This record gives sequence, structure tokens and C-alpha cells, in this order.
Amino acid sequence: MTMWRLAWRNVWRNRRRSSLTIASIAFGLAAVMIGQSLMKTVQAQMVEKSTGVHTGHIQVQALKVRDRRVPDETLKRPVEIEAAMRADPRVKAVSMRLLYSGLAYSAAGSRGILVAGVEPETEKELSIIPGYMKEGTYFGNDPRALVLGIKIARVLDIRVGEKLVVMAQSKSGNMNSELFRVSGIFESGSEMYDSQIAYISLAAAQRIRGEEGRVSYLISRLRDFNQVDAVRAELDVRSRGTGAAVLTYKETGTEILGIQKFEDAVMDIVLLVIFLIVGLGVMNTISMSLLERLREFGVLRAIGARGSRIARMLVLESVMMCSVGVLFGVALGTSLIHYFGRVGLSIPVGEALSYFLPFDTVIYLRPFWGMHMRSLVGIAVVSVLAALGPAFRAARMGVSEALRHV
Amino acid sequence: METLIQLKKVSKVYEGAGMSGAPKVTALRDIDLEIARGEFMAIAGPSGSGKSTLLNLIGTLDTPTSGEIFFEGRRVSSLSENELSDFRLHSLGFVFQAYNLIPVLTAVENVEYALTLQGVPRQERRARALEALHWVGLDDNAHRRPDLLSGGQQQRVAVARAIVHRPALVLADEPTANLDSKTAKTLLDLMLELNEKHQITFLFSSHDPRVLETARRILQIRDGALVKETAA
Repeated sequence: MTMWRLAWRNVWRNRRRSSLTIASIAFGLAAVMIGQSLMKTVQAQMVEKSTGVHTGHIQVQALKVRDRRVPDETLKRPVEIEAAMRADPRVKAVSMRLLYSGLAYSAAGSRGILVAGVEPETEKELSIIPGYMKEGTYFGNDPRALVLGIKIARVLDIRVGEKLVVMAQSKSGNMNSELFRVSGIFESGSEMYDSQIAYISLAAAQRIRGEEGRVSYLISRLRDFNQVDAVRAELDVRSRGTGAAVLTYKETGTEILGIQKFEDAVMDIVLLVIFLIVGLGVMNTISMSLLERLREFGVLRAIGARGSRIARMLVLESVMMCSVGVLFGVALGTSLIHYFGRVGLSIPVGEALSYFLPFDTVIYLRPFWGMHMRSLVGIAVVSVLAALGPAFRAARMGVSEALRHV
Repeated sequence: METLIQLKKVSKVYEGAGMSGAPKVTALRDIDLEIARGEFMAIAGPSGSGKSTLLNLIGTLDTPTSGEIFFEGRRVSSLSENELSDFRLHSLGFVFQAYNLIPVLTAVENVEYALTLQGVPRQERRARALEALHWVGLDDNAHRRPDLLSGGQQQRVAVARAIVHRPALVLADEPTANLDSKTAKTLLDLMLELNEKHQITFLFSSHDPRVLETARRILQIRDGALVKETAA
């Protein structure tokens, strides 16, 4: 009879109590896994959408820009950095944008907008806006084409093929305007994008602004966004002395990073609470087991078992309960993540975030094994730690005293 | 005869629980005793006279307040906890009044537990445990758990567990208290046979007349002191 077999049988002496402890470990771990998956899936989508519509993975802006989101300073096309980016196999696409505030008016009315001058062909490779087209096309061959959000189109009562004037103040203070024809209307689901942004060609945007050859930023998308820091480090060297700053999406989309940090902190607190519940559950089970079997431990000690052996057996029982709980927890968590990865999970946070970003309100969960493994190890460690107290008590008890216990 | 156990001026005082103000209790006072190898003896006396305390001290389950205990000439009253565990594992066997078998283990697993602790290989310890069960007449019940055995059968398993590792001394605390007359007699005959056949020393604590009739030497204890010794 090995200690393992004895410990295993002891675990099942009180089936109901052990089952409840195992269930608390399993449900706790499954809840943590789903929470982590949900949080990381939301975060991944936030990064994907934010980099897809606005920040890209890497931007090059003028060094003295104060508002990194809508740069208040332009820079001369950074040819050298642009060439380096285009030559880098890790970079999927590079494009230029010029952003400024303006006014759009049609026969029906006018509305303040954010004018975004873009290079349509390269933009298609790095922006997700072309994927949200509701009517018409994302630009075309017409140099005076304009693409705008559905809510602006409704306010201005304008449809694809109709004309629209864009007016803005030039750098020299003059009011300039140009006539455009609506080539497409997009609906991203984001209040901010659908009601504020109108895309025109970069050349047209530069003409209205009187800033030929200048851009707000150079934007790029990488094949793997995890390479962002490595690519940025290399570009940093090339940008020295050019008056340009190389920025990753973490710096241009600071609000995304803030949300991520907040979510991570909430998840840490949830994790701590679940660890605490699991730990107390295990401690309670082992303590009760110790109390009920005190006389039996006295017998084992009388026969010749050392105190440390009794302690090891109690810890082993805890490890076994924890292992069964973890197995069930991983199975349950993985099943639920796969299920919600298939059918999707509608969450209110998606609706809240979609005000600022195009955001899918139905989240399709996927596993994040690195994080799940850390939680699994955490629960295992907590279970062992929780058993240590009762185990040490068992190891130190007096033999005759334990034998007298009824 | 060779001396197996020697007690010199052994006393045991239980301290009163501090806050409750309970007084000190002197359970044993200045006990001098020698037990020879191969004896079959009993400590008799009324409840609370100190029988179990004396048995616990000889079995190293408790430590004396003063005095010394020697086993085969070795002073055991000053051994560390782990040394005491090892000593009990190799030299002593216990039979308790309430059998005290491990309920999740079968009869043969209960018997072989001490051999597991000794590191005896699996096949050998199983063979020795089955042999011990054969000695106590429980061949057919080797693979039953204690809850499927009668009180007498459980106590016989306890005896098999106590002797399987061939200890020098078996300590039996009121071993027949929970058994009917017939079962008690069978058990005592069995222990006497083991004593005679295998030279295992038996020391009982009991006030059961059936035990006292079987014992070859009886020590009477009263109020923590040895008051009389009789030999069969």
C-alpha cells in the first residue's frame, strides 16, 4: 500500500465534501479561464480595430506634435523612413494621412467633420474601413471621390454619386473648399467614426489645407504586430535628426492601453478572490479531515509513521483533490471557450466600446494558454499552501493525545 | 532471563490547564520495573489507576516527567520524535481496545502497513502480511475492509498488524474490553500461542479477569504506584 493509494482512498472517504471542494476548484478555474479569454479577446479586438482604423501598428509623426491622436503639426514626407519601412519584410503596408477639422455641406445642410486625406490604394492594405462599406465603393478612379460615415450622410441627406463640398481653413488662414462626389458610405457601428470622418484623397486634402507635400503622419501595418517594438527600435535610429518621431500603437492609442491596464487590474482582483475562495475551501476540507482522523493519525504514529509522513500524506491528498479539480476545470473552461468561440458571446462592453471604435458586440472567445497555465499553477500552489497549515499541525501532534481523541 | 525493558523511578505528572486553574495530576510516581524478554504479563488496576499511562510510556507514545526507560539497554526516554517513530516501527506492536484499523484499507493492507513503512518490497510484505493473517485465522477475510468484519475479527487483524514485523514487544491496551467471552478467550489463546511459538513479549493493561487469568505475571497498580506483583 503506497502513500499515493492511501491518500487517494482518503480523498474519497467523504465523497460529498471532497466533491464540493473539487467542484469549487473546477468552477473557479473554469471561471478564471473564461474571464481571461473574454478579457484578452476584447483586448485583442480593441488593438485590431484601433490599429485597423486609426493608429496602425507604427506611425511616424512630427517630433513636436502635442496631440498624438490628431496631430496638430505636420511633417514633410519622411522619405528615408518610408523607404526603410517599405523595404522591411516584416512591414505589410505603408501609407500617408493628413488629418484636420473641416466642414462638409450639401444642399440639405452642413456638419463639422474630421477630414482624412488618404492614399486609397495603400490604405486598403492597412485600414479596415473598406470592409465596412454600406453603399458604393471605397474610392475608385475619380480623384474627387469622397467616402464618409453613414451618420454624416444621413444628416447631410446625401447618397452615393451626389456632390458634397468640403471646406477647411488653410495654414495661411484662408478658407478653402473643394467639390467632391460621394463614392461610398461606410457603417462601422462606431458612433464616433460614422458621424465624424470623411475620407478624401491625400492630394486633395493637401490642396485644401495648402500643405502640399506634407502629412500628419506616416502609418504602417506589420505582418505580426508582436514585432512592433523591434521594428520601431530600428526605425528610431533612422529617424534621428529628421524631426520625426517613430511611435507604436501603444503611444498613439493610449486610451486602449489604459483600458487594457484597467481590465488587467480587475482580472487580477478577480483572480485573487477566486484563489482565496479555493484556498479556504481546501483548508477547510483538510482541517475537517484532520479533525475526523486525529485518532487514526495517532495509530499511524504509534505503528511507526513519522510526523512528516502524515503531513506529506495530507498535502498529497490536497494535491490529488486539486489535480482532479484542475482537470475538470480545464475541461469545463476549454469546452465553454470553444462553445462561445463558435456561437459567440454578446457582451454589453462591446456596445460601450463601439462608441469610440468600430467594435463587434458579439465576442468569439479563444483560449490564451499562457495565461490559463499561470492560473492553473496558481490554483495548484494555493491548494498546496492551504494544506500546509493542517499538515504541520498533524505532524506536530502528540501521539497519546491523538489516540485519546474520540 | 534477558531484561527487555527497565523503568527507573519513572513518574508522569499532567500539568493543569493554565487558565482553568485545574490542578496537576500525578498519574505515575517513581515506578521501578523490569520486564524480561518472552514474558506474557498484565498490568491490572481500577480505572484511573495509571495502567494506560504506564503502557503509553513503555510504548514511547508519551514521555515521562522524570525517570528513565531502557529498552534492550538503550535509553529510549530521551530519543527524538523521529528516533522514537523508528524505534516503535521496528521494536513494538500495538493492540488497542477499539481495534483502530484504518477503515480505507483492507485487512491485509492494514497488516502490511508497518512493513511499507519499513521499506519491505511489495511482494515480500504481502506474503508476510498474509502469513500473519493465517496465524490469527483470517485467511478468508484478508481482502475485506474492517467495516465488513466482526469485532473479534477486527481485533485479530489488529493482532496480526502488531506482530507482522516481529517486534520484541506487543503492548495491548484493554484488548478484550469490546469482545464477548468466547471471542476474548480465542484472542487470548491466540496471543499466548504467539508468545510461546515466536517468543514475542506481550504486555497488557487490563482489569478483565479473563486476561488476568491468562497472564503469567500480574502487576497491580493503584493511584499511580505499583502495589503488588503476582506470578502464575
